[in-house]
Amino acid sequence: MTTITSPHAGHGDHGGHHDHDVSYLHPKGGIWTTIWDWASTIDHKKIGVMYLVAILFMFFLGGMAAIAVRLELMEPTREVTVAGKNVVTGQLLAFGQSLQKGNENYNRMFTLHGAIMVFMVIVPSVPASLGNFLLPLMLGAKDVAFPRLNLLSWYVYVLGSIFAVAAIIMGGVDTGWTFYTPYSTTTDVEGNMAYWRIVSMILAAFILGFSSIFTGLNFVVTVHKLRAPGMGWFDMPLFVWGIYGAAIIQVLATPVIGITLLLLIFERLFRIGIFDPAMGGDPVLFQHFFWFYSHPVVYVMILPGMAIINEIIAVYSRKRIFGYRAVAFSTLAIAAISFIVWGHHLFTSEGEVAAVVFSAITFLVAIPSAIKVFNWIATLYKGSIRLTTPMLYALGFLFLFTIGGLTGLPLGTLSVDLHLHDSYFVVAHFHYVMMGSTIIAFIGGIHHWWPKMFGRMYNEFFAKIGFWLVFIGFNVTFFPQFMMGAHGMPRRYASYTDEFLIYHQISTIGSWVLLVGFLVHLFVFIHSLLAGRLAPPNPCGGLTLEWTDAASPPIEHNFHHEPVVNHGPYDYDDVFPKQADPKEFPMPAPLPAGARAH
Amino acid sequence: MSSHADPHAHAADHPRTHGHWNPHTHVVVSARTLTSVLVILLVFTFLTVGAAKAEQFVMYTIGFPLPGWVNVAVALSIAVVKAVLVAMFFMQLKYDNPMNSLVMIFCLMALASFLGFTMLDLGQRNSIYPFKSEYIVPGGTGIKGDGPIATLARQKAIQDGTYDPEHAAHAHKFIPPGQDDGPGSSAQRSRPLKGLTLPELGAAPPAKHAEHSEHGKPEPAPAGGH
Amino acid sequence: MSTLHADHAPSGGTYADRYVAAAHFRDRDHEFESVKMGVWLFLSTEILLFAGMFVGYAILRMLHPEAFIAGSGKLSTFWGLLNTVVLLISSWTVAMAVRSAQLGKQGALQFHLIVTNLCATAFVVIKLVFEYYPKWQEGKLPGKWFSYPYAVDPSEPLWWGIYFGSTAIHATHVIIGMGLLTWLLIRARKGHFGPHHYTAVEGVGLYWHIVDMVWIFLFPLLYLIH
Repeated sequence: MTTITSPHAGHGDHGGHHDHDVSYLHPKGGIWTTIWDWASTIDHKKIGVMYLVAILFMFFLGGMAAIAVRLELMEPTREVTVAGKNVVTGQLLAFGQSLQKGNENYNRMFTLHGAIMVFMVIVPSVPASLGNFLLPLMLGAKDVAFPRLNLLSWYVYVLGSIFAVAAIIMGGVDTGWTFYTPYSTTTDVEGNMAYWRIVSMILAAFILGFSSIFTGLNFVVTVHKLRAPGMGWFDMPLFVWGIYGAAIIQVLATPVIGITLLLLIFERLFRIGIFDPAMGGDPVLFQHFFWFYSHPVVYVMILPGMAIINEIIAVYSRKRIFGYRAVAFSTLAIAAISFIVWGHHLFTSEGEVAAVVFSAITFLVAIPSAIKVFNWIATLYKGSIRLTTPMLYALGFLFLFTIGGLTGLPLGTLSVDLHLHDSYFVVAHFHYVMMGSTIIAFIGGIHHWWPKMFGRMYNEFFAKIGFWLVFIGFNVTFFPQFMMGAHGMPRRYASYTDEFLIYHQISTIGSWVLLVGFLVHLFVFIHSLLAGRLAPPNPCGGLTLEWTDAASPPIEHNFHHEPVVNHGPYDYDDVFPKQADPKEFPMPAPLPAGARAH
Repeated sequence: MSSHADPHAHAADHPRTHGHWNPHTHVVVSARTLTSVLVILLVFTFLTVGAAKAEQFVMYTIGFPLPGWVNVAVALSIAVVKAVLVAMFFMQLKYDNPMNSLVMIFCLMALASFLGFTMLDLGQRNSIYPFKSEYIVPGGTGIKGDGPIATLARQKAIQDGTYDPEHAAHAHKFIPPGQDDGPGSSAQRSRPLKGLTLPELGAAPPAKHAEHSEHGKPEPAPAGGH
Repeated sequence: MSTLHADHAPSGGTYADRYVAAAHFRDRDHEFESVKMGVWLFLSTEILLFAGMFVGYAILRMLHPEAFIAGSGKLSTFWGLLNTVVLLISSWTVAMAVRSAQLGKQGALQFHLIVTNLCATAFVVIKLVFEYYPKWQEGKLPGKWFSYPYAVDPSEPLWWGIYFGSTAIHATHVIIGMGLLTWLLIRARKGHFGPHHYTAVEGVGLYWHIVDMVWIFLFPLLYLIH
């Protein structure tokens, strides 16, 4: 806090070393100057873009691990005797070595997939990239409350990711992303390089926790203190509410994973015995510690996804969101309930009394989630719906989240879960919620705000092709997993009996469709950056401040003048009635200049 | 977090000068208040030590078996009072924006849920199926399955010839002579314990069952094996 | 890097008088309040970090009450009490430091910061020299390092795991606090703090109180079990 900065940014009295009316993307000079400018930036927009790039890179790594997992499962990894001869099948990941090697590599692959996707992709995905970029813009602020902390959180994220990649290079971790004891504490020989790989992965998750805390803390303070004049709590866009709910969880839950992972490292290195029954400790205690963080954190994943859906559905239905306050309060309700339901992850290992209590509380989550879904559907009703790519993603979200949410109910039912626990039903359920909902919303959100972030339109046609590939690929991949899970296929096995072969093969083929879909999106993004036509300030006709008051892309200090909020974020009927032709496609005309002048 | 949480956030657009001075933001706590709080805190600190000594006196000298929770309840009540004093006066929550107190309250609610539900499970795990807590062996089975580490340490000391049986029967806290007949653990004693039988070599020390040690038991032991 | 705005900042006065808030805040009070809320959120993460240790403590004490009694009996209440007193006094001095900054008393501010740092040093020295070192020599160590042959309960290594784990994490916070206090002292000597700008003093002060508060709970839970 030693720097004393100008109170009147953008009035030409800032030493004259940069012009404040140019886009934040405008290079500051030569290549090295520009790189240094980005590396040392405290501009939330640049940090958001840097997060986006980093997260998409990790998404690529995690996705490759997933493709490898699915490839291995194309055939069961096993040794069978056919006509007196031993035949070894499905040992793709063994690289020509023993069957056991194939199984070990499979374990490493799904651990990498899980750890990368959870800690490095889904948790930071929406808040750290889109949230960072949009939160101050939507609130009418010049920046987040603590810009330097924001930059630090990005570097901490990168540091954590480096530790994770180091663990991969050291041989990979095979504990599953949950680091359950004793897998994470007693495996490997001490003094060996491989002994440290799990420590490295645990440290990665520990460090990433700090990144998450910094982001969450920053957002909570920003929402509380930096709202534009005239913007009350219920004038905020619902995107901000979602990010805010997630940020509260990040602040309150992440420290517990910090101490958990620290104790886990002590446990592994010093054998202090807290989680080790051989020392008088209790392994279930670790599961409680771990899930006290990791259950709330699934709402860190889903709440920002829901936040994006609010914006997309309202904008492309040209309709005031139905039940604004109900949606806002359901966000807080989900955040609050998230702290008291973690025990449903350990129904099979905890005592019956706690299991019954946790099962009962778990059903409470369904209420605010259903409120949101019903309100979105009610918003669509009689809206002027435009089926743009983001809207397709939002509708896809509704479909997939409903499946994911409803399949959560049997899993929360204690008696049913004892059958379904650790089966592919669970795998399918959380992929419908994490990927089918959060990642789908994330990609929809990237498309929705892409013109704002980079100032260029994308190719609507190819983006839609990408959507359909992703949507179909996703369902082909994961729907069969519900069926095989219900039939008893356990998760985390490279081998299976013949009755599951057809499901696994359909699933693997679906994963390829999914991969192609993402590659199409990658192509759309690159094409847009290189050759997309320039975006108007408000191509989608949104009413939140980032559309109405900021340029595309925004200038360095976001707004030419501090915005004054005089209409709600979804007052489409009041602010420009019948402005946009609902049939206009792909995008309606930009807002007339005087549209918000009242 | 409610809508009235922050009345200042969207108040009138103040000019960004240094002159704006919100008396609610900067409260100077008087030195007298701070010093009184320090004195109270010190008194409570000695009180908590005194209370622990008094409980020991009641249990071991008078011989009245206090229930185990008394120790925890007294210690934690005093600690909570001290913490509240620190928070209200040293940390100025009493004078501060109520939002900051709300942050603390949410944090404590998360803590309560964490502690409460974890204890609910691990305290009740054997309530329906008693076998569910049988695996919790005192001291465990050892890292290599060859016995609790404490036992191994004793074995090693005996092998090395550094084991001093006299020392084993002495301990570190002073309790007046003649008052060592209570059922306390040997660690409470400064003199040789009467009738102490050292645990047999290689075996774990005799397990202390819930029925036999009412004192100093903070919670009903789930591992008791009824 | 630092630029001052001529219209709003008075030309004279100290650094603290001339301080103008960062560009995205309305004024210095806005910045102060925001930073303070950030600090409180950070403190709640600290409490939840220690919550892990407290929950671990509660569960393991519930499972092995005798080991905790035996282990606690081997701690020196005297040094624990002395450390509590030292930390409480430092908490008072840091509160007085904030008060001095608010009143613009530069000498008193520096004095209180120095005394706080001395108390912190005393705490760490007592912890290392009179508590950790003797225990390390006797082999009263966590987990696989435990080599103390006179344990009376087989689960004592677990107790030492909890004791060393929680006190070491706490002591790490004290050492970080010493660094922060030194940073404050350097800035105070440069005259960076005054009635209009003492955000850093306030923030570090709040952090220091939380470190104190954690110890208020650790002391009776670790030292006063019987």
